[in-house]
Amino acid sequence: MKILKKQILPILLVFSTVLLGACGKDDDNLKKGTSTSDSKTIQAKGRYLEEEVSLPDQTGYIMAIKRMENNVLRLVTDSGIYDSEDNGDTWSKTEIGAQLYTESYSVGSADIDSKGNVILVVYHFGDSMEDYTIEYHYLDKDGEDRVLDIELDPMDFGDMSNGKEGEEAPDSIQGMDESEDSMTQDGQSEDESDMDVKFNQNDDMENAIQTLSFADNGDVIGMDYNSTMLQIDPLTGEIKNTLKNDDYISELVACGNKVLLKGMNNTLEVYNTETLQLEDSYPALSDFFAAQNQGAEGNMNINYGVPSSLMKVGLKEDSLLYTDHTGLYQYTFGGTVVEQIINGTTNSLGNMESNATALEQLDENTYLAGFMDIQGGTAKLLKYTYSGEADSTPSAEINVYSLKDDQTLRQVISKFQQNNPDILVNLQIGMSEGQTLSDTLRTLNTNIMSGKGPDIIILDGMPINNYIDKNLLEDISDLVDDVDKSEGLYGDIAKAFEKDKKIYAVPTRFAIPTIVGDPAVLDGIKDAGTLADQLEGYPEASDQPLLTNTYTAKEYLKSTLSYAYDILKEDGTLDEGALKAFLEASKRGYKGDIRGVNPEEIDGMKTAEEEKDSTFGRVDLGAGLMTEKQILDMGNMSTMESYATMVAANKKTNSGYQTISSEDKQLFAPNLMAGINSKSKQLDAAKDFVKAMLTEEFQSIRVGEGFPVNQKAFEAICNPPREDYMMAYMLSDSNGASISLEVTWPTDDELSEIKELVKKLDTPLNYDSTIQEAIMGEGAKCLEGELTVDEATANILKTVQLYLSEQ
Amino acid sequence: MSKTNRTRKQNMAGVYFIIPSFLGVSIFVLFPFLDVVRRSFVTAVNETWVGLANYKMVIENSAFRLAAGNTLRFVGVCIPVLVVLSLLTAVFLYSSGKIADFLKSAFLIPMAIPVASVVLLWKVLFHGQGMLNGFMDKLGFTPVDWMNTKYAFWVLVFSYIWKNLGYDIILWIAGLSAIPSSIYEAARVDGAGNIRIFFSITIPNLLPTLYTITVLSFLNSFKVFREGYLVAGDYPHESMYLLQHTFNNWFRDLSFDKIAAGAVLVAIVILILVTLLEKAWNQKES
Repeated sequence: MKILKKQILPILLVFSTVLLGACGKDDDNLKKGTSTSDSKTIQAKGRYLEEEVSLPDQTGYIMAIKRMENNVLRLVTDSGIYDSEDNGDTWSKTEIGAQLYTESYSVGSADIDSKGNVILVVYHFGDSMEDYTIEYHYLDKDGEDRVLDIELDPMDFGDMSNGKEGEEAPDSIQGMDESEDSMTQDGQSEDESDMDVKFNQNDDMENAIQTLSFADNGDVIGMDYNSTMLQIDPLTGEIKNTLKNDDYISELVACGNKVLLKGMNNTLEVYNTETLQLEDSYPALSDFFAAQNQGAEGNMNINYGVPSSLMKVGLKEDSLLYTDHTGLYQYTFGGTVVEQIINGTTNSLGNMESNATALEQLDENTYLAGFMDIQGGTAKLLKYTYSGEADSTPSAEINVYSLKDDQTLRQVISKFQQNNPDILVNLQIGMSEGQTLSDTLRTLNTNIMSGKGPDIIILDGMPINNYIDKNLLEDISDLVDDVDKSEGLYGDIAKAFEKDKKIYAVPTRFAIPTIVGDPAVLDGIKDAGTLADQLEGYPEASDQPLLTNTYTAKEYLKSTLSYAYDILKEDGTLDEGALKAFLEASKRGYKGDIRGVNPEEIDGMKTAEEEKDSTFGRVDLGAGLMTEKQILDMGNMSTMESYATMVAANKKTNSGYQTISSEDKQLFAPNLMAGINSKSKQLDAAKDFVKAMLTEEFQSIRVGEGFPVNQKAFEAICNPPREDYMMAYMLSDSNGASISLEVTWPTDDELSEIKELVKKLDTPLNYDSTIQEAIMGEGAKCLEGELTVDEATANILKTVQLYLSEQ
Repeated sequence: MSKTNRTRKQNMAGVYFIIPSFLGVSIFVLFPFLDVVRRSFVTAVNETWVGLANYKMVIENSAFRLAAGNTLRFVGVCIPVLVVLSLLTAVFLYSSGKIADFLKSAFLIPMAIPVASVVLLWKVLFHGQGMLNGFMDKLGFTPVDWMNTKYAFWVLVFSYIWKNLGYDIILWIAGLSAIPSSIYEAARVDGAGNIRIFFSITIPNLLPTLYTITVLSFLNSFKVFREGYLVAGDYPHESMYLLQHTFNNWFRDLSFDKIAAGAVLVAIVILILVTLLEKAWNQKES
């Protein structure tokens, strides 16, 4: 018996361990929305389909949409008021308010109530565009126009802050160079005359209502520039009630008997429309707004850098609709959940080139939304209708991987999905806070080797040559050639990574490293050494670096690294002589650059340097020279808008510009370099995506940074985004006086100049990240005096040689 | 049942008990290692057969040779120093009475300190403007950039010994406790002095412990990479560039073929060393 126990017990133990440890269920199918109960895969059905509604010609900015009590839809735009009797399929212009749509007037904002009455904020122009008054018009449903005399308090500049007295004025009146020290913490200028100069032109600024909304009780709730909430009788213009708000309000909507105020950081306050008293908070909604603000990078309005969102009252009582670039959401007050109705990734809601400007729920399953194209200034009306037949998720899915978030890439994805609704594109961002590039690449490699790698890799910052040598990347020469033949690509740029007649990575965007300054100074600059000569030899020191934005050694190296293009030899090794020469020149140049700068200021900048996000291009290249404190500016010129700014600034300062180049090399900085994972399971879809990235339609996207490599697209972006293109910059010169810079679109000659320049670009600046880190790290120590040039050179060479010897 | 059969059956029962653990080790260690061996004969991504080309590439790779040399040098310096120092300390503590308990705990504290804290300590002590250089400067010596010169190796050695000393001391003390006191008594009766007792009784009886400590210390020596990596990153001073640095960097560069070949070579070397060590102890024991 004992022997039997000894034999049976261990066997039982073994089997029980195996049984308990080996069980598992395959949940993968369940996660993808399919059923394991049948042998076939069942695709879930039902989603909202998008359809564009045609508008009459010349329809402008859509401000409000409302279904009236008589079931007719009314649309208020800045070009007229339109009605639709067929649920929004067709529209006709009404005569209501026709007198306000003439040359002397411009409608700024509007709202409609359920009866069809319209409230408008109107600019009434006098002899010139600068001479205007703001009027408030109430158009009843029959078209009778009543001008409301709303007496607002005058503009209160001292309190116009983020809620705390004496802090910075909001962007609407600031527009100043933040590097100026003209405003102290208590809001007073250190020099009183500065205050006069700065605010003279704003003394005449009129307070006005910037946003308004009809409440259920018929009153109009508005917000003026003083952040004062107003309850107004629309028939008489009498202000029934006011409430001063501490926060700067970005959006206001009346929803039933509540009015919601959304602050700049997506904070939420809810007031009662009768009493303007603060109501209890709605945690679910507040948490939702906070989450949307945190994820705002993919949700940003590309021009203004603020989350682009819209709130509107829903069909049901006490229901709120919210839309931004992530989708359309609905919330019922008192509820615990904010429900996503429409996912923005597969339709125009996710398009960052346009913002939703108006929204109306037509019925349980239908929504109408007005959009404004930010760049082109055109309006669009889209209808979203639920279809129970359509697949709930696209049948194919591809993953795009990028180390850093990029607005151009997001826009490309959004557009691609709109054009290909059967393909879902997921964007994976590799780098996160606290993670090094090496660790990120290791995580990516782990995923690749385990078969879970992305289908498309954006290779910026990655070891491209290494991936090519390892056969990780698919040959895409066929699709590059296709686009080149049909539309034309800048061959030297698009084929920069061609190897043995095969292309494994294609830069879809590029920038031009440029230096701007006095032509006499520029003539003497050919490399880092001659740059240093100019900085050392400049007769006057400044309390700012002579080369813009180069307070710290790292910033100086980053700006001038383009001159180090000859350090890396063709065999991949470093040229010791060239490296030493570069460091010697940089040391001299940096010394000359900051000789007049307060060392404490430099130390302060070092702390800020760690937190600064590095940008690829410079939108204000050359503008800093207007302050007369800097003599040179260097950076990547990456958009036509930045070229326009540089040209305008150069005219003002009598400066010139030159690109970084040698006798036989014209340099460019590649951006958004796309490659396809050779182990991708969606190779066809991935190729379609990369091909789309190179076509004119996608290359013409004016979002983010980088010139297009598609020649037709380059021609297209040479046209101004809108006819009346004008940007304005406000800076202070060395005496503290304001300088404004008006930027208009470049002339034909100026555009021809840049077109010719681009044709000559042939050599990519593409430093391996390890080599760049070594140069920046040891180089900074050398420039700061911690190391001699020889020591820094030796350290860099040791690191790089070790790195190269691993290959 | 014969004695042989009974012994065999008893041994089989023991085998049955270790099967679950063995299965676990097989799934998480042995089978993956077999896959590594397979990968050492193919390319990284496409897995095309290349025979011994990866091994040739690794052996000819100067970074690998440097790292292997540094690792051998590190092990060659650290293991003997650690073993001898921990043995002497253990012998001292074993005969120290009550204060030994406190000292034992004190020696174990470095093992409990998180790696990030150790790294911070390194930086405070050994940075170019750190405490050690400050102290040296006050004494009139020239400060040294400890982490960017050949001294980086000795900083690594110091860190390893400091961290692992306590652990080995505890193992030695356990070994010392297992030696019957009657042997010592008999030796003293025969007139043996302390040094004679140490070399003739203590050391021979500690040989099994020595084997365990040597193997464990050897395995722990690889963990020193964590501090080295956190302080100096992917490319430290060449004197402290170890095999793990090479493998870590190859992983970043997707060079799985080289990692696999390198790992197999390292495994073979370790296996040979451990086997030779075991044979040597077994011979001494018999």
